[in-house]
Amino acid sequence: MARADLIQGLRDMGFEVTELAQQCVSFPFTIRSGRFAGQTVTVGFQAGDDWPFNPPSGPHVTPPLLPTGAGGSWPLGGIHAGRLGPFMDGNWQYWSRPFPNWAGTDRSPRTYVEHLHHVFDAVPHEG
Amino acid sequence: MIYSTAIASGMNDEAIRHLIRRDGQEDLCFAVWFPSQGTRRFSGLVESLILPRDGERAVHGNASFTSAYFERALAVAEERGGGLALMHSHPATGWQGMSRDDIHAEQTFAPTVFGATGLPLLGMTAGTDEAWSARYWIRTSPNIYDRHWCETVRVVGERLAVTYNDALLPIPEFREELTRTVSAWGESAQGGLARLRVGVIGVGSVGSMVAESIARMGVSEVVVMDFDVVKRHNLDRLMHATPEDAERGTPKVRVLERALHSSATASDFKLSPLEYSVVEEEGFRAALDCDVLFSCVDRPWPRNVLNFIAYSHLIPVVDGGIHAVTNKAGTGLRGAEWLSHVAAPTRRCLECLRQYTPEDVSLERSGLLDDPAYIKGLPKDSGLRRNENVFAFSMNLASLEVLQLLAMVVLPRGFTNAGEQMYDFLHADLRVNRCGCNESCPYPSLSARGDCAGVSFVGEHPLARDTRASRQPITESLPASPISAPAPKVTWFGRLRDSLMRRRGDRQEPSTR
Repeated sequence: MARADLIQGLRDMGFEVTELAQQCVSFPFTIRSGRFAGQTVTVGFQAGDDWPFNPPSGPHVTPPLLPTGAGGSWPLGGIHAGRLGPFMDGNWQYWSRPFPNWAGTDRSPRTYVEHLHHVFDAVPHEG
Repeated sequence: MIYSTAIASGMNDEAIRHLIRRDGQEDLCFAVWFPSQGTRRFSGLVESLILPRDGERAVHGNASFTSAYFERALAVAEERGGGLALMHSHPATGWQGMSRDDIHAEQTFAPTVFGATGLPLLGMTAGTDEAWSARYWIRTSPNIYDRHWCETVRVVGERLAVTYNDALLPIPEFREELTRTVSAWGESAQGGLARLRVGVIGVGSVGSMVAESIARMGVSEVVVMDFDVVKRHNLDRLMHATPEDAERGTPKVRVLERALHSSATASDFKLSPLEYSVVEEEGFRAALDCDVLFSCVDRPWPRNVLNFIAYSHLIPVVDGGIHAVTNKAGTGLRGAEWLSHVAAPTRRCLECLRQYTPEDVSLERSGLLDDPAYIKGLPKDSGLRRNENVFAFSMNLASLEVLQLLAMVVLPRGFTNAGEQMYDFLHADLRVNRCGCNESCPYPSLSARGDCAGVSFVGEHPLARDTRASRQPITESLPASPISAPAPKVTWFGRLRDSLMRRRGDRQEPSTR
C-alpha cells in the first residue's frame, strides 16, 4: 500500500514515525545545518495514498521556528498556522515548501527527507 | 449493473497476433485482468497475457488447453492478485456469440477460477476483424455461475476501438437532425460515436462547449461533472448561462442540463449532471462509467486523478489548456496558446506534458490553492494565479478537443492519433507532436491495474462539499438527477475486493473514501 511504503521507508531510515489521524504522520527530525543546526523539531505531514506519485505537502513543524506570515516564499516566507487536523493546536506551523520537480526524481522516501533537510538548511542566519 | 471490458492497444495487438491465425483455425490463451468499479458499470481490464507454451494447447479447428496450462495460468493470476480471462478466437467478424463447447468450457472452469482468485472468470472471443465479445461468469448461488454479457469491449491507446454488443446496446435510430453529420462519415461510424458514454469533467467555458458539441453530434449518453455554480465573471464565456443564473448561483451542470436537452440530436438522449469533483469518491466512480473523458478542468488535482484514470482504468482522457500572456501592466495581450491532446496508453501523460506538477497537486490537496491569502502571496507570474481567458480561445480549444475524439473514433482513413496540438494565436501556427511518456514516468506501469493499482488519488474536497451545501435549492422543474439517487451498492464485488485485499495483506483505509 502506497502510504505504508512511505511510513516504512521513513522507519527504515531510522525515524520514529507516529501515525496520527487523517493519514498524518509525525517524527522527530534533527536539523543538519544552517541557522537551526542541531535542534530537534517534530515534523509532520499527510502521508497520502498517492505516494510516491505525489510528494507530501508542507511540512508542518513544531515548535515554531520562524514568524508566521502567509506572504512571500521560502526561505523566510510562506509560514502559516497549522492547517490540518492533528496540526491545528496552535503549536504547529505549516511551512509551504513544495518539492521542486518531484517528477524528475526517483520519488523515494530518502529523496523527500533530503528535501526536508534542505527546507531547514536554506533558512539564512539572522543579521 | 452494466458490464464492460477494456484492453490497451499494445496488449490487444499481441493478443490478436496470437489468436487470429493465418490458417483460419481458432486459438486460445489466458490473461490476467483487474477490476474497475464505476457507479453503474463494472469493467475488467486485461493487464497481461499468459501465452501457451509448447504442448499446452491443441489446435484442431477448435482449440483446447491442457490442465497444466490452466493451472499455470491460474497460479499466475492468483499470485498477481487479479482475475483470470480465457480468450479464444472465431473465424468470423463482429461481436461473437458462444457455441455449446464455448459455454461448457467457461462454465466448467468458472467455479475453480472464482475460488482461487475471488473474481469471476472473464471469457473473451476475438473475431477476424479484431472485434471482441466478452462476458463474466458470476456466482449467483452455490454452484450456480451465470453468464453476464458485457455491453462493450474497448481497445484503448492509439485509437479508441469499441465493439458493441448490439443485443444490449443497439445502434440508435438517427433522426433527420443528424443527416449532415451522418453523411460526413457514414452510419457505421455514427453508430460507434452515438453509443459512446462520454464524460465532460469541468463544465466551464471549454467544457460547456465540448458538451454542446457532442450532444449535437448525436452522442446518446453524456455525463457532465462540476461542483461549481455560475458567477457573474463566468458570463463572458459560459455557454447558456444567463445573468439570472449568476444571481441565483445556478450549478453549472444544471445550466447544461437545461440547454442540452434542447440541443441534443440523439433519439434517446440521457444526461447525468453531477455536482461533484472528480477527486471525490463519488465523482471518481461516476467517471469510471464512461468510455472517454474530457478533462476541462484547470486545477492540478483533478488533472492528476484523470491522468490516473487514463492509464490505470483504460479510459482515454482528452485534455487541453489555455495560456494567455498579457504585458506587465495588464493592458495588452502579448500572446496566447492552447494545447489539446489525449492521455492514453502509448501516448504522453498529463504529468509528462506538464499539464500539472505533483507538487501542485500536493498544494491543492492541502487546501492552499483555495486559500485567497496563499494565492495573494504567490509571485505575480505564478502559473497558479493565471485566470485570463476569452470565449473565442475556449471555443477554438473545445473544437480541437472534440476533433481529438473524432480522430480516435471515426478513424478518417485510418488516422487515429491527432497528436499533441499546440495552437499559437500570435503566429496562427499549429504545432503537432506525437510522443510517449518520459522514461522514468510511473504512470504507464499502472496500465490496466484498475482498482488494484495499490494507490489512490481521491480524497475529500472541502470546497466542493461547502459549495453543494451552501447553494440555493433548485426550484424549477428539471429531469431527475442521479445526484439525488444513492449509488447502487455492488455487494458481490465489494465482498470480493475486500477478500482480495485481505489475502494480499493490504487494506484500504476508510479515510481514503
